[in-house]
Amino acid sequence: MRKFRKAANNSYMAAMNSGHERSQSLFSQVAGRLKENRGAMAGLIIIILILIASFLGPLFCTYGYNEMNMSQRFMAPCLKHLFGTDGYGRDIFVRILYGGRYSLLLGLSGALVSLLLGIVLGLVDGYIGGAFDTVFMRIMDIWSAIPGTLLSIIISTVLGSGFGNTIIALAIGSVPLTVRLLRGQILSVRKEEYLEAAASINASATRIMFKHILPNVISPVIVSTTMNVGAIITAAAALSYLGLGIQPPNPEWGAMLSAGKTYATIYPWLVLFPGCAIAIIVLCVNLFGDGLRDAIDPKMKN
Amino acid sequence: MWKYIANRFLWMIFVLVGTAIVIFTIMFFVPGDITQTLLGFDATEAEREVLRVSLGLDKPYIVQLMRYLYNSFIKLDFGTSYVYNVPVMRELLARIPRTLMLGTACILVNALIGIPLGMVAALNQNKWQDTLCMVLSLLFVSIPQFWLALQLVDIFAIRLNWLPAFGIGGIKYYILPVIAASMAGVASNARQTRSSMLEVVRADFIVTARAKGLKENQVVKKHMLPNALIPVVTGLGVGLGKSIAGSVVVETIFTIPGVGMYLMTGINSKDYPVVQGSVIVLAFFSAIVMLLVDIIYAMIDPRIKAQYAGRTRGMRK
Amino acid sequence: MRIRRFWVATLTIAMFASALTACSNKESTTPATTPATTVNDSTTAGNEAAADQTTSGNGLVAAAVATSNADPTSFFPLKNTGGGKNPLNEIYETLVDQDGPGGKIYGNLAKTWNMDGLDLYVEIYDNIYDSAGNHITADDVIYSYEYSWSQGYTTSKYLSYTDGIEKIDDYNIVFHWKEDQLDTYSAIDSVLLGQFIFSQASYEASADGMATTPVGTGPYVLKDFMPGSSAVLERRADYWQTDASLVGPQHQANVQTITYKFISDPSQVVNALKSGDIDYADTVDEASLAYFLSSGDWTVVRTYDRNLFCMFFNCLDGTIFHDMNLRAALCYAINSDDIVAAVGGQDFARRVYEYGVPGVTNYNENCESWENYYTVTDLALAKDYLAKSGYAGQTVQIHYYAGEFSTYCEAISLCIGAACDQLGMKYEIHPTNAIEDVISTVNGNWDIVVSNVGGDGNAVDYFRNNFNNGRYEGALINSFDEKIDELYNKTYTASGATPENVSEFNQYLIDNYYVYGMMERITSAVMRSDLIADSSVTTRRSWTLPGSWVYYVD
Repeated sequence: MRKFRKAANNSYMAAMNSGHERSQSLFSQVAGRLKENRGAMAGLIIIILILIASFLGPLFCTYGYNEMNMSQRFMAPCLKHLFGTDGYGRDIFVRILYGGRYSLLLGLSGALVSLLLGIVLGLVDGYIGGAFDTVFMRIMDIWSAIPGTLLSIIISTVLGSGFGNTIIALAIGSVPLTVRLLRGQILSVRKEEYLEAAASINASATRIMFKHILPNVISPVIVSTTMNVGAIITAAAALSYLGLGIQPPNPEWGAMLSAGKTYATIYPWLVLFPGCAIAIIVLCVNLFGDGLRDAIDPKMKN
Repeated sequence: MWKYIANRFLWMIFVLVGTAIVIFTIMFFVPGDITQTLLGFDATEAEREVLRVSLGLDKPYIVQLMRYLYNSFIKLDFGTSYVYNVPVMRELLARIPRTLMLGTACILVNALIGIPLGMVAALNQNKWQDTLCMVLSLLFVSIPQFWLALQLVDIFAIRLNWLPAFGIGGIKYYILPVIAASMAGVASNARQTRSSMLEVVRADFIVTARAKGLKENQVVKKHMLPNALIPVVTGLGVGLGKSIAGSVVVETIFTIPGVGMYLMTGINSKDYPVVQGSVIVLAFFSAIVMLLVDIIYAMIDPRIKAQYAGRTRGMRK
Repeated sequence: MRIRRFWVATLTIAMFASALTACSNKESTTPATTPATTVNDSTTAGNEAAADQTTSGNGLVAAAVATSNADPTSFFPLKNTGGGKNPLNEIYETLVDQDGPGGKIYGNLAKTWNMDGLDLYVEIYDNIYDSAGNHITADDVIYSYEYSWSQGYTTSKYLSYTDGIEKIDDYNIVFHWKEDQLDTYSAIDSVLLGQFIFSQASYEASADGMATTPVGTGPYVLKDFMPGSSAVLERRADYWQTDASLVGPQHQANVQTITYKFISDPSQVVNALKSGDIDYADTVDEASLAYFLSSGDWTVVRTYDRNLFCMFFNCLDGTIFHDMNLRAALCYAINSDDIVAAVGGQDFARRVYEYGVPGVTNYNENCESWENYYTVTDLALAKDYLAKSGYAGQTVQIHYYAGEFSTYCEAISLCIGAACDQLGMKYEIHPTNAIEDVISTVNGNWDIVVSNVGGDGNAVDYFRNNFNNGRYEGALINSFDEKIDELYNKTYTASGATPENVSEFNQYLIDNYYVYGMMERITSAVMRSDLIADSSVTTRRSWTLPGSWVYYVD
């Protein structure tokens, strides 16, 4: 008996070590490939620049983001107001800078919340399996039967407007997708030998989940979460169009776009700048996401 | 195979009932008083109570829920809209064709334009076709839908006067809405096709096929396409779900009286029967589409076929 | 590939930016503040109209298309309030009608009516037939009132003011008034004006309560209806009132067909006008108005629509604004002129000087020269009050009514917010469709409510709901101020509706900084110059009546 246990232990250790080595160098491999991808790097740098500009920029601007001046309504872009003014005489340049906070935070937090929720649910489900899995997947079916945008709209109506409520509303729509992705990956990984070996020596459930399963299934989920950021930012703009989501006077780009669309033909700067800002951020996020996916799965590059 | 479909269908019913319960509960707890919207500011509390009782809103939650489930699924009666005073089912039946037409047209456009675009880009990787495709798809993924819609109206309806700006009537009323609603889907489908084609292009079995001496056309059609299409089919399915939901925005811009606008009116005026009915209908179509997608998978992907075969064997027990 | 990706991204941005600019109107300039071509107070008509107008008979204008301000949703006669119900006013009729807001009341289906002690006797014409050919008798009148109430549609309020209706004979009925409701302000008008009369036979014959198949006594019938999109009305050849001199101004039929088109996106309204899809729009946005003002093809008519937009404080014990100093601080920091400018200026609103609008019965013009926070905006004074108050950094919760006039309420909320900024107060803005749930004392987590209050031509109307203790357990301002109760009961009665009482009430509100009336809405309606000569006739609630417009006929 002891011999058998020792053999099992050895094979477990061997499998662990090889897995370990693989995962450590995997991370640095990915990072290395990512650095070489100029597009992805440019995307990342621009996002970081936007982040800095939106948090520090308004401190250096002459006007406050909510400073109204009725005698200067709808001024075209000029030296005093780089991006012009809106219907309340507020400077659009500082509002765009300040608004970056909302788009970035909304996108990042929304995607992160949905990722975390999805990971926890997906891991638990993938590991336990069996009857729990069937019931759980049916609940996920109900959750995903209502299209994501619709769910966001309904939840937004229930919770009301505001930053926190909007994040919840946006995140909840994208959880089922993450869970499905994770579950698919987990089901395929579970068969692998070293997991069986680990179970045979009674490694604890959490240890197996986090140390063994997670690193191997995480890659497509990370990529889809990155893409999710762009989708959430666009969804936030749609929410603003319908009158939900972030409320004035907060200068969220989608809200600015929506408020300016009536005047778009006569005062184009009202929609030009928020529109470009949204486009740039979604673009950069997608570039980075593309690069990340290429870096994780190098087969496509050659 | 048929057992599998029947099994999935039954689960679909379960999912729909679950959805109905969830939506009913959510709407029940939304703060807001329909009687105030219906009677206006002038009504006193006593007068509003009369309306409340007549609409059955004074009963407790469970009673209302049970009555609602019974009506919806046994009698197929979603109730009468508080705002429209017309049975919800009747109104939905009139509106579903419009939303379906919008959604189906969007999917067709997605498939017929997006997939070839992606294929062209993948097969000409790094040449000018690829760059153009990438540029266009990145562009359309980033533009907010309602802004695109309004620009289209401005150009085609006002300046050129080729197409009507809003409303419904004939085919021409749907052209602009479909374009506006499908551009983002075309873009993401093109990218998805391109990347999954690229994945397949380097695959071993393609090298084998080429080594066997097959013509390039054959290689593409018989080997690349089926395998590349699997994630694309998923994308299309998810896309229909998204476009049915996204139709809310497009319908509001173009004043198309479809299910999306019906839902928004219901949400804004706390018209519970309308919201519940519309969501169930939309969820129903979403579920049907996912079922179809699964079936198509089963037909395309031999790996999955095998999985299903195993499953049905298991179910016969 | 990597470098290419970056350039692809840059190319995309460049294309996007140029696409956005390319699609703008080249002739964009800031709009000149030219006055509207016609400035009205909804009673005068243009001079040139008189020559070409036609009333009824031959040579009718074929069709007119109007936007409805909201989706008509249904033609259910029991529900006649709320946005979008304009078409109902052409199809159904009430016992009496009123010539515009605050106008003369005249008999419509009722031939005579008079109050004798506690009894209101009404005689109806004996030749009323609805569009299905059914004869309207006293039974139908009673049915309309009673059935409506039994279904919960209590807009006529008849059982609030009376003990019921009794039939005398086929064409005569009597309402038995409640004794304590004798002095209630405009109670008789409400009962007689508030109920559409329909025939019991027609109603019961309809499968859906006449929601899509209305049968009324009015001059128009519904020909085609697509819920959520459009409704087409057609003139009825067999309108029951054959004596043209007895047909009221609201019941004319000057056009053969009327099409109401519902447009859900406001920017599309302008498109619809320009492409000829509609002939008349209630309002257009500020930016496009300049285009219509300067174009000869369009007439712009400004009307004061008697909608008062104002702000109420929550003065309950324990709230921030229970402290009068804080209320005073905010009031002195707000500038109504800024708010009027924010919603578009002279073509969209005019400022008011009290809790009420100018030009209505019982309005006291002197309020415009009183010295108070309406006429004085003083930031230093405001800060003084702020220092005296106990403000400790709480967040002010501003709720605004996001229904029909949400752009106005939103603009007001933003300006209030800007005033808070200037005082260094924190705030949050919430739109809500259910104002009642916000302000009820149970739910009350609000500090300021911004809403509109409608009036029907009398200054007293504006006190109607918001200071009624019976309604909100402490009136909208939640102050349990007994003086408000006293003033309300004195003023909001048939006998107490005098300019003196109104002024006294207003002065009290001002002295205590309870409310701030900010502006009256002005609608700038746009219509085709070659089709419509005069669109000034409206319902008593200022709703459009295309049937009563005066048209040019060639």
